[in-house]
Amino acid sequence: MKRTNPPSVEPANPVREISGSESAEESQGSASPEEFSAQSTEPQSAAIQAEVTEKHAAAAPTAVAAEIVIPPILLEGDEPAHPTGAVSPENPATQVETNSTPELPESYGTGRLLLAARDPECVYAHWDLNRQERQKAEDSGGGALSLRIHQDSLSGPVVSEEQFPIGRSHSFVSVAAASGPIVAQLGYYSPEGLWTPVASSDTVEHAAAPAPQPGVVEFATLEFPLTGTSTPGASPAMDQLIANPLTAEAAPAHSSTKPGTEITTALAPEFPLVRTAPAAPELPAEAFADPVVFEADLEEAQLPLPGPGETRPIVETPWTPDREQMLSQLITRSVLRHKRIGSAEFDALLKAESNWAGLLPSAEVSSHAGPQPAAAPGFWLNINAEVVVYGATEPDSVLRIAGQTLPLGPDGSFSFRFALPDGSYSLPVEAVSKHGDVRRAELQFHRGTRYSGQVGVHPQNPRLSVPGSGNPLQA
Amino acid sequence: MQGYLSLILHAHLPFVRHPEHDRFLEETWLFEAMTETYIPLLQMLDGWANDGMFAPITITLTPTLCTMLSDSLLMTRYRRHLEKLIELADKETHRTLFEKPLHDLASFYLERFRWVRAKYDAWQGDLLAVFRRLHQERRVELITSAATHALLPLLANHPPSLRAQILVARDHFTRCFGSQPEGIWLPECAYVPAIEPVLREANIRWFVLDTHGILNANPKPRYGMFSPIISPGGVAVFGRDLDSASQVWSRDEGYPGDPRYRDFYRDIGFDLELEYLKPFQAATGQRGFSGIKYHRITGPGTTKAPYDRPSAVKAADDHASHFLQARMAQFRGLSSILDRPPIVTCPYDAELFGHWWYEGIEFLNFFVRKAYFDQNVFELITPAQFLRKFPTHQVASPAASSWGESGYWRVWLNEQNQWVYPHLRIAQERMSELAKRYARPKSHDGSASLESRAMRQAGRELLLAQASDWPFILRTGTSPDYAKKRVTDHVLRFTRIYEQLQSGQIDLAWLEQVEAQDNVFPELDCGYFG
Repeated sequence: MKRTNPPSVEPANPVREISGSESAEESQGSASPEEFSAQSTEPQSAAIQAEVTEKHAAAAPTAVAAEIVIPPILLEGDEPAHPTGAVSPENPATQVETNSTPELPESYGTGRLLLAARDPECVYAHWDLNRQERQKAEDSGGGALSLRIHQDSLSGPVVSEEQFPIGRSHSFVSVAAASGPIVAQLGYYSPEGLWTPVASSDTVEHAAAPAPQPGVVEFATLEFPLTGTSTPGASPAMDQLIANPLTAEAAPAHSSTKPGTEITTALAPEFPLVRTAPAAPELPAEAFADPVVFEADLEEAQLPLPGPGETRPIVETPWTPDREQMLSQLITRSVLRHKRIGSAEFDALLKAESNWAGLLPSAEVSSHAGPQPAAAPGFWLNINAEVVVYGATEPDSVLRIAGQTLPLGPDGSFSFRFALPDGSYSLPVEAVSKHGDVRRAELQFHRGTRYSGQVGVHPQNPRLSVPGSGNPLQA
Repeated sequence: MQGYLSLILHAHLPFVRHPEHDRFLEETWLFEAMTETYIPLLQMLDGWANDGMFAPITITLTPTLCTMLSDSLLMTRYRRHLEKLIELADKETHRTLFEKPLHDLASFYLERFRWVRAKYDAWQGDLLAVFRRLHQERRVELITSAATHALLPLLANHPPSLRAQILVARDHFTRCFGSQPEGIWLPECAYVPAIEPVLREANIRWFVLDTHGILNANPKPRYGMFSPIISPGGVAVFGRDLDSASQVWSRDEGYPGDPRYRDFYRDIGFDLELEYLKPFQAATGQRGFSGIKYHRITGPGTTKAPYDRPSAVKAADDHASHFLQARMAQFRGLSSILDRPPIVTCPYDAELFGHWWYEGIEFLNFFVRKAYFDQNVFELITPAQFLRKFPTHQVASPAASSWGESGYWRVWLNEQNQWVYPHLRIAQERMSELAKRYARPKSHDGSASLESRAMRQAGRELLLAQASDWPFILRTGTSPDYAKKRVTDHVLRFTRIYEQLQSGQIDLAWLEQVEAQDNVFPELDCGYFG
């Protein structure tokens, strides 16, 4: 909904970049609901001030004979008496009730852990512990709670773990290393290092966009109800939605479908379907080799538009690698044009013969974005690596990583991601307290990769820098 | 003809209705949209019909918007709002008598508002009837959206809430327009696979996703976003076109930022004396937008030049021509590559045209007329019409996505608004508990029992609390106090009803008061929450 926000801030535009302040706000700091204000706020304007001044002046006793009071508006020029936006229309005063309104409860005492996927790199966790549970954790857990994110189930590998002070009740947790279902467990470590669970979440699907798979392209034909209406509450059987369910041989395992072939593959276990690739027009064999001839033939083969109520199968010709490449480049250029990336990056991505897969959302390149090798026939593997550097210091300290001053969360925590291509890297980290005390650490990383067979580089967020250079991304 | 263009306008407003106040500022959201978007839009569509054009477009009318457009209290207030607007514009013509540019504009506004009133009266205040007629004539394909525009992926862990949002919307649409919707606008184009079973149950045949929802589909969609895919559940999915979106939406390169267009913020509601404006304010003592604006965007900086209406309309015409040429070039390029007619899907918020971008309706009108009369490269079509003409498409699983910032749910789940969700989670589970316990309670004479009434109201309160508008407003910071109050009020009302049902002591007088205030979905089927 954008009712109170004009499109100049592009609420629906995927090309909008994330500002530094937006990244910083997703820190680990707690933020309990602000106190509900019963008083609406009204920005003061020069016009209002003038009005108030005038009233005060009118009310003040004076020994001077009454003067003619000229309304201020008649003394103003054509331009307003204040700069644009002095009475900020961006935040028009809200009419809220001035009598007090009950607040929502701070806790329901359920002892439950809520987990919600937010995007491919982050989940939201909220825990609703009562005072007893918090006290127990305080006494036994050294004043800190830990949240573990597991892959698939509680017995699956831990893909992320973070610690919080007892007073916290929620966090946004990085799950960049996860894929598929995830589940969280809240608990604490005893002084002996033993894990004591407090609450577990439901399993949620990670919001990661799966890397599109090459392979069989299948088609299906929809069928609409003839009447165009149906009884509310009645769900049509799936075979009414997709025409003529039949059983036939499985589709050939190649990337294009031969025209005129009937193939059947169940889309969902209970709904057998027929997918039919419509027959191609009769074109000479050489038409498929020469794109220019192909285009001319296409124009000749172009059918007039179907009339009202008339359906017509799409006349298809074989989908060639040339067409695929051309469309891929067209879409990639469109996507990159809206990413506002630098020209060098643009050229590099184009030269990598990238297809568009995983390039979006274009506002913030996802971890799957970037160049992908053209799909090779047969079995394939893509691989890549990142490193996450995280920690905490006193909230009023200054943190520098590789000489760059970086933001801390309200509780002093930090977490940053770096790309990790093959090579050796050194990452100096320095924290300086407000009193000038300095603490340093130097992390050394090395990656070496041996490849065997068709192995490509998995797309990675191009904004990631290697350790020791560039601005790291907040994890 | 080389392809098809699908223009989709998503018209939505959150349910804002405050009978407890004589005037309420946030109700002006509806009044402004009616004056500047919906009525001019309907007039434009009628104009096409009168000129013999068959240029079908798709319009979402969300259930909450439909509810408000048919609410007698709100429509009475809108009529009052129009009268006040005309009166203010008339005063302005006198105030600016000796200031030529402003006086011309004041006269323009006076004429404009009188015209809006005349159209509204000619339609007897029933905009839904006009939309219904256009839908039945197939000049417009009307589609629905979630009941209260909830962000469905954030309800995915509570399937009954997903069902309620979609099936209540379907039922409401059927009552308003006499047939089931074939398409749905997923709020914010937000999608996860868990939504699909409910779409199938609702007999929804198509929806739209942002570009990456299609491009990241599995397997890779052969035709990119230029042809719909069919999900494994049998629902067709169209992908938003990037180029046409950017030319209209982009802050930097989009048409609405042209310096000749009217500046949205320089409104006399903030420029003139409070005392002068008092009789016309939407709420006592509250400054707000009046709809009368005298300045154009001009350019960077705070100095704004007077709005030149003819120049702005000319700009809209120029941009419509540019947009047309760009689309024609796009189709020529696509048709040389694709082996089937491409479809370019162009969804926008309806309120962009006329409200945020004052000349937007003129732009639409110019573009569609030029597209209809001045070229034969592409044709306008609705998604349902396209699927009927070309029913065979690639099967692929769409990717989780939204058209919000960053492409997922960050806008609706971040540090400013995360506090909402634990309360919603508890309320949702309690609603399911109620739905199971009080399945279709009846009194001895077969009429709806008091428990049934209370349960329905609990369902309404929950649906209203689930609206994505509130976390959105909390994120943007435009009216955060109001958004917070709305969530608080609805959750507390729900909780009170829940507790009264648990105790068996329902406060009838209070229930009647709440029913009268939050009066959405009178025939709500609470079984959806079970």
